[in-house]
Amino acid sequence: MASKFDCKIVTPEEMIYDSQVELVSAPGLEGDYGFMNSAAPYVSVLRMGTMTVHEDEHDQGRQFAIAGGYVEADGDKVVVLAAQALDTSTIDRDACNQELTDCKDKLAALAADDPKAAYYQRQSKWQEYLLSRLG
Amino acid sequence: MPDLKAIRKRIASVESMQQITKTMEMVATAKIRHATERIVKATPYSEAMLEVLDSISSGASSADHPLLQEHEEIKNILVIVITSDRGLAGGFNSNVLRAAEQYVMARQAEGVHCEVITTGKKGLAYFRYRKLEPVLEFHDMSADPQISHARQIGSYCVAAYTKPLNDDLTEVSAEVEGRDLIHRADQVVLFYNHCKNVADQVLLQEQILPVNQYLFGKYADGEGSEKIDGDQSAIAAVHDTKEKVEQAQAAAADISSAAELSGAFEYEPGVAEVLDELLPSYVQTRLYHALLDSAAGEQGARRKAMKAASDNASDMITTLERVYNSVRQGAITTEITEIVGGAAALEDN
Repeated sequence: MASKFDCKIVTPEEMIYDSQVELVSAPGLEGDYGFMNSAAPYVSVLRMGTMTVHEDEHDQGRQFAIAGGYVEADGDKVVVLAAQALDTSTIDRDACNQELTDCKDKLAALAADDPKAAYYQRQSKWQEYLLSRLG
Repeated sequence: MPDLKAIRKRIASVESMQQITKTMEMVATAKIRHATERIVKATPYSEAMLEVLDSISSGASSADHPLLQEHEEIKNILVIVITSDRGLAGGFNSNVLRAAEQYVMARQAEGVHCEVITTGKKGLAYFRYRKLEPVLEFHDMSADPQISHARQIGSYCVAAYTKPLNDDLTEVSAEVEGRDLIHRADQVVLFYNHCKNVADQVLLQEQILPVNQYLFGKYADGEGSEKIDGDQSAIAAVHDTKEKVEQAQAAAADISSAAELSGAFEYEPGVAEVLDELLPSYVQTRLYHALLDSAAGEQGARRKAMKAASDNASDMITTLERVYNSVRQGAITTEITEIVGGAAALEDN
């Protein structure tokens, strides 16, 4: 049995996940990474995607959708700083659709060079990603 | 002689006012708890981020990132002012607005152009009245700020700060079309009320951009910001910050040489790319914290103001009741005197 280490997934609003795990896989910019205990000190940018944490080597793993961010691994801990994160089992299709429509409405109302537009573009991409996870 | 009925009416109206202020006090107390909980929830992220930034800044050479570099010539300053949507919170808004305006006026006197970003209706109204239309404003959110607000302000600041130099500043004075364009900013400064504890708020002035990497390790203790006392001018605060930064730079130089010896982090895809992502997020996180902090401060200030108002109402009721009693007693005495006088007159007859 592989030894466990501490894994945290935090967003600016709250801590999403904090537990002892055996394996973490995360979507890096140039491919997915896997982290195990005693990982070398490592900082990487993450893309929008899904990460999996395995609390036990042979379990199915818990999946989290993340809207980009970074991962910091340092020996006995892995910290994922996600812009937004959500347990994939809790994605709500209606809420996503609602949010997506809201974002698109707001985008349509804003001028292309409006400083607020970039935010809504990112937000609608995130909602689209969540919906794509639902299939 | 004062009218008894009028005094009674006055007492009743003060009492109902006291009821309102007492309720507002209780509402604010409940909201403080909620606001403080949100700050606590947001802390792990900013702590983890500072840890990463600290390791980068002390290890690899990162000083050439555009967000870390100071602009040589300061032509335009972006001032972010965090206020509340509602009043009835004592000096909460007026303090922060006065400090920000003083700062803007002092910089304008030096020939520097200033633009403001406001959050909260109070700030918007204040600067609009002074013919300084905010370049970006948010309202109806001061009691419940979301990360989305901080993201929007943050990305605006980063876009303005990294805008190429050839942006012609004459555009700024050509008010009409220039409004929706982002102008190059050479510094971004934030004014807000820090919720020191439930009862006290401290007015803070922080430099958001360029990001001061020498304060990464200290940010958690609030050392990166300047406390502004009532009579201390805003300019003096800026000079103080510079001194503090120089001291911190000297200290950081020692630390970084030590850090090079120990095992350094590996960065994927590279230090520059990691910083490209990390620094804007850092700016957003600081803004988000300031918004949350100010929201908690607002409730604290309101509670204090409403408590003072309820206490004043109590005092006023006591005084009015005394007046009422003495007037009533006076009326009774007069009546008795009249009866006695009348009876005596009858006896004489």
